[in-house]
Amino acid sequence: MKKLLLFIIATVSFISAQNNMRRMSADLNCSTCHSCENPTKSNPCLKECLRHEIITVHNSPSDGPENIILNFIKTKNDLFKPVNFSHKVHSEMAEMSGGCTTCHHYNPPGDILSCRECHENDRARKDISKPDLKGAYHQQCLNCHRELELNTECESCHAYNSQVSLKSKADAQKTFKPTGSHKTVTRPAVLTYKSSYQKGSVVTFHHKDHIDLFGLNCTQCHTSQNCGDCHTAKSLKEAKPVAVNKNSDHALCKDCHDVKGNSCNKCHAENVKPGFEHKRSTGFDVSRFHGDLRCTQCHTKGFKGLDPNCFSCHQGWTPETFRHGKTGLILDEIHVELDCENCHKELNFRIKPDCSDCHDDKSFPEFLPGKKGTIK
Amino acid sequence: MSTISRRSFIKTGIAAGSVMLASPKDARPAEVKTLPPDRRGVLVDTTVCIGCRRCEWACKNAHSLPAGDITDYDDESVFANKRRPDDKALTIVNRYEKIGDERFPTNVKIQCMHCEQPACLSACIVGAFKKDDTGAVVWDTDKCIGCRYCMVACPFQIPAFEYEKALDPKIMKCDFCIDRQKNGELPACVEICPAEALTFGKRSELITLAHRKIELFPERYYNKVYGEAEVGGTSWLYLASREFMELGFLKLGTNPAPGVSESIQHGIFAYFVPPIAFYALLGGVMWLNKNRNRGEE
Repeated sequence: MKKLLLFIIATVSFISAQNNMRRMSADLNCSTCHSCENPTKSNPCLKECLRHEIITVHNSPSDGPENIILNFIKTKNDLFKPVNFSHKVHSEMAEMSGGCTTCHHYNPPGDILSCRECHENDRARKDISKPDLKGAYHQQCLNCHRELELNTECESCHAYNSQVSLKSKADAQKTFKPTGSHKTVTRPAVLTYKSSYQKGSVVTFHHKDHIDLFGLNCTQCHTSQNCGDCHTAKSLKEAKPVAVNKNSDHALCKDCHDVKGNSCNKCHAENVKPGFEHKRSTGFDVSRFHGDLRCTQCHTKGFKGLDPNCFSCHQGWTPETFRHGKTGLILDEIHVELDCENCHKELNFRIKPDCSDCHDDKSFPEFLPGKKGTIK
Repeated sequence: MSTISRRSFIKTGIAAGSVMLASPKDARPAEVKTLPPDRRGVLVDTTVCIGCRRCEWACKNAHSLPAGDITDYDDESVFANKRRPDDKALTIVNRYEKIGDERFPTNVKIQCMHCEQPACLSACIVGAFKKDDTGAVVWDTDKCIGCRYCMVACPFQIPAFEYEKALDPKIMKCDFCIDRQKNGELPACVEICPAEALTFGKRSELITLAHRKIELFPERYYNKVYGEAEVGGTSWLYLASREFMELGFLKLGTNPAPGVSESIQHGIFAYFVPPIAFYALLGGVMWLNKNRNRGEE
């Protein structure tokens, strides 16, 4: 019996050790944390904190705790009650920028460490290379709170302890309550930039087209955006325009546009350039029937132009399946029965239909083979 | 009153005079005291300070000055004016808005910088000041005669005087909470600071820390540690997000301040010129008067 028990314990501990090992990512080795070759318990020779090469693994906000009561610092006469930190809400906000790393900086791969595992609780300490726990909390929180709220009063996060006699301070715990979803952002249509390029100092950026026509997502250009980038401390409701990081030339454009060679004048001009118009550029008007399409639906990889014949794409069309009313003309009972080719000669839908097969005295559009409808 | 006899006074005077005449080059800044390597300091990170002014409250309490209620210090209207430490508040915090960016005002705590080579110490004619091994620049109130030379000499204009006290007015300034330090406690302002904008530690370690912060976050910090070299170095060091002169810091050279005050003081008395000139003048007046009196006769 004892042997069996021992065997079970050994197996369980082996499996858990294996799991622990698996949690560690492959790029973690002794030298990630230790500066010497043979660290011992008495001399672990740990590298100085703010270990840049060690960053946290990314977890989803739902993996972490919902709320944390920060009651790890206690003194004799605490002016305030412990802070109830809404961890989940904050991690959701961090999703917009740095993720977990925003707060859990320098966290080795594996378990997410809490602040107090690195930051000492004692201010009078030997190692001053990182702030103590109280300092760490405040520095971390205030970095964003100062940026977003001009009001950095203690009561924004803390409730006063009732034992402390106060003049007119409300003894109410304030917790952050998110108010639903973010307000829809007003998107600019056209933006113009000045550049130092002499042959064309104006760069017109058709912002709306890049989203609606070219199908880019906000985050493809607006990377690592912070709440404070738009919201000033004085007003959370009014936001200033989102700026993109334009530090490096062409960095944002070069993923899609050729920024080398002789293609400068595609974006750079002396005056504001008009936006992209399919009809002007290619001769094919997409606005009437193909307006809902995204460029990439036709322009797949290796696209070399389309056959102007409708049937090259719309293969299943027959007089029975084609709803002619969509073109703005609802055919009457007689004409709806006809083959396409009876009116549209050689199935060329670009030229006007020919009535001469049946009618000598009628022509399009003076006489309509049905009634007008609305183009859908 | 005095136990010095006329004879011995003259003797000493002649001896001192001959020393001054013999070695005028020695009349330069006094020898710099060797400071212990583990002397303390404080690193003030103004990018972290939120301007809660808890340090002002704690400081007053630690020095038995009327402090009032802690919640009084939430009043931000005081930031409208730039204040200076005085005899009633040994440390104060000023706020500097950044024009065009109201997001991050910079708050700057001011107190005695505790110079490595203090000008106040050098200027004090009764030797009341001393640079303690902790790094603190402290003074003996019982020795102080109230000449206020220290106030004139201080490059940071820190020592204050209790002008409003008719009886027994004292020089007042930050003493780096030397009594608390001797009891193993932190300075009151360091202890209370919620954000640990004030880091207390060995001065040498603080300098390393400050440079490491600048290296890690170059976009956050202006590349300078104020107090590292100013007037020969100070125990209190500062980090800021922008040019220090914009934040009310003085542009001071790296020469120790006593170099200036002492060379002025000693320069005047070099070669015993002023006393000799003064006595020569008096002698001249006497001689003239004597001649005039003789003429009248």
